[in-house]
Amino acid sequence: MVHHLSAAEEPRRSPLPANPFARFALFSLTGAACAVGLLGVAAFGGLDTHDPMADPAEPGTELKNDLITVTPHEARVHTDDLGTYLQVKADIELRGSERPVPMGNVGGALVVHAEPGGQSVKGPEIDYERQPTGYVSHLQPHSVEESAILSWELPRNLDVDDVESLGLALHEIEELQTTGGTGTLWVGTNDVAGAVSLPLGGG
Amino acid sequence: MNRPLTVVVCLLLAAGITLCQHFVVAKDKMVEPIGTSGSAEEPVVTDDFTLEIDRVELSTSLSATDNFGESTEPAEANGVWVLVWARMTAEHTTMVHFPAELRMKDGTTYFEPSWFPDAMDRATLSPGLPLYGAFVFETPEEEIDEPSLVVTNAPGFEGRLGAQAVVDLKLTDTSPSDEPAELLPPQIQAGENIDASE
Repeated sequence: MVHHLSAAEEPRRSPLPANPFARFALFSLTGAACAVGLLGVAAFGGLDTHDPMADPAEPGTELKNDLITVTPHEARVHTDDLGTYLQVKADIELRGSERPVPMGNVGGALVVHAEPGGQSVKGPEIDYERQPTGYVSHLQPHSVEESAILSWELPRNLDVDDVESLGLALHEIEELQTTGGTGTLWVGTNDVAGAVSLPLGGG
Repeated sequence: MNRPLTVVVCLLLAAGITLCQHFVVAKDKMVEPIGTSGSAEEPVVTDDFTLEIDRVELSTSLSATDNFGESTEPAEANGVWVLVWARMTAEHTTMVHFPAELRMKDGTTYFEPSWFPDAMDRATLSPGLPLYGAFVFETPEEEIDEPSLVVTNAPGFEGRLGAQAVVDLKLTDTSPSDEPAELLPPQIQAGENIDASE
C-alpha cells in the first residue's frame, strides 16, 4: 500500500509563506518599498557621480590604462609669444600596442583640470621635452622613458592667478576597429583609471 | 548505388571545402597594402616604386638641420638612431606620401619620428629620378632584432591596396657608433653611373 504525504507532513523548503495571498502581499510591499526608495533618491537629485579628482594621488605616481603608463611630475605656467599655457610635465610610455599610436588617440584619454574652478580640457597638446617645437605624430612602442609636456592654452574665462593646482586624470581606453580595415583607433572612455594633483609652480 | 564510391566522393568534397576555406581572406586583410618582399642585397621592385638599400647606420646621436636649414646640436637618442640609407625611384607618378616603418622580428614596429626635415619621409619622388636619402628611426637598442624596412605608397594618406616594399635589412651588427651620424638631405642620384663620375 502506498502512503501519500499530506501537505502538513511535507518538510518546508522555502522561507516564503505558504499562503499565496501572503506571498503576493510580501512581493508587492517589497516592490513598493524599493520604488519609494528610488523615487526618494531621484527627488533629492540622484546619486552623485564619482568625482575623479576627489582622491588624487601624489606627483610621481604611475597612472596606467590598457594603452599607456603616465607619470606626471610637475605643473607650471608657461608664457611665450603665442600665449599663456598651463603645462604638465609627465613621462608617457606605450605599453598596450606593438605599433605606434597617433598622439591624438593617446591624448583622448588625458584630461587636465584646473583647481579650484574645475575647468578642464580633454586631449591637451603633447610635445616632447627633447623637441619642444617639433611635431610629434605618434607614440612609439617600448619607448625609452620619454619626457612629455602636456600643454593647455589658458582659456579666456580663466585667470592664471586663480589656478592653484592642476589635476591630471587618465581615463580608461578601448580599442576600436576602423571601418575599411586599415587599423585600429583608441578611444578614451568615461571611466577614470587614476588621477594626480600637481601644485602649480612658476614657469 | 555504389556505396563505397559515394563515401569516397563525400570525403573528397569535405577535404576540398576545408582546403578552399584557407583561401578566404579575413575582412581586415582585404584592403591591406600589396607587399613585395626582398632583402637589402638587391633592389625591391613594386608596382609603384623601386627601393634599393645602400647601408644601415646605427648611432647614439644625430646631427641634422632644423626647419630653417640651420644645423642644430646633435640630438641624443633615447636608445639608438637607425638610419637606413636607400635609393628610391617612383615608377609612374610623383610620390609625396610614402610612410616608412621599421618592423622587428616580433612585429614591434617603429615609425619615423617626423622631426627631421632632411629625412626621406619629407621628400618628393619624381618618376624616374632616383632619390638617395635616409629613413630615420629611433628604437631602444635591445629591441633591434632582424629589422625590416617597410615602405608603402599612400597617395592622399591612403595606404589601402597601395604598393608596399618589405625589405629585410640583413642587419648583423647592432652596436651603435658614438660618433654622431650626419643626416644629409635627399638628393637625386642616378645610381652607379653618377657614383663613378664623382
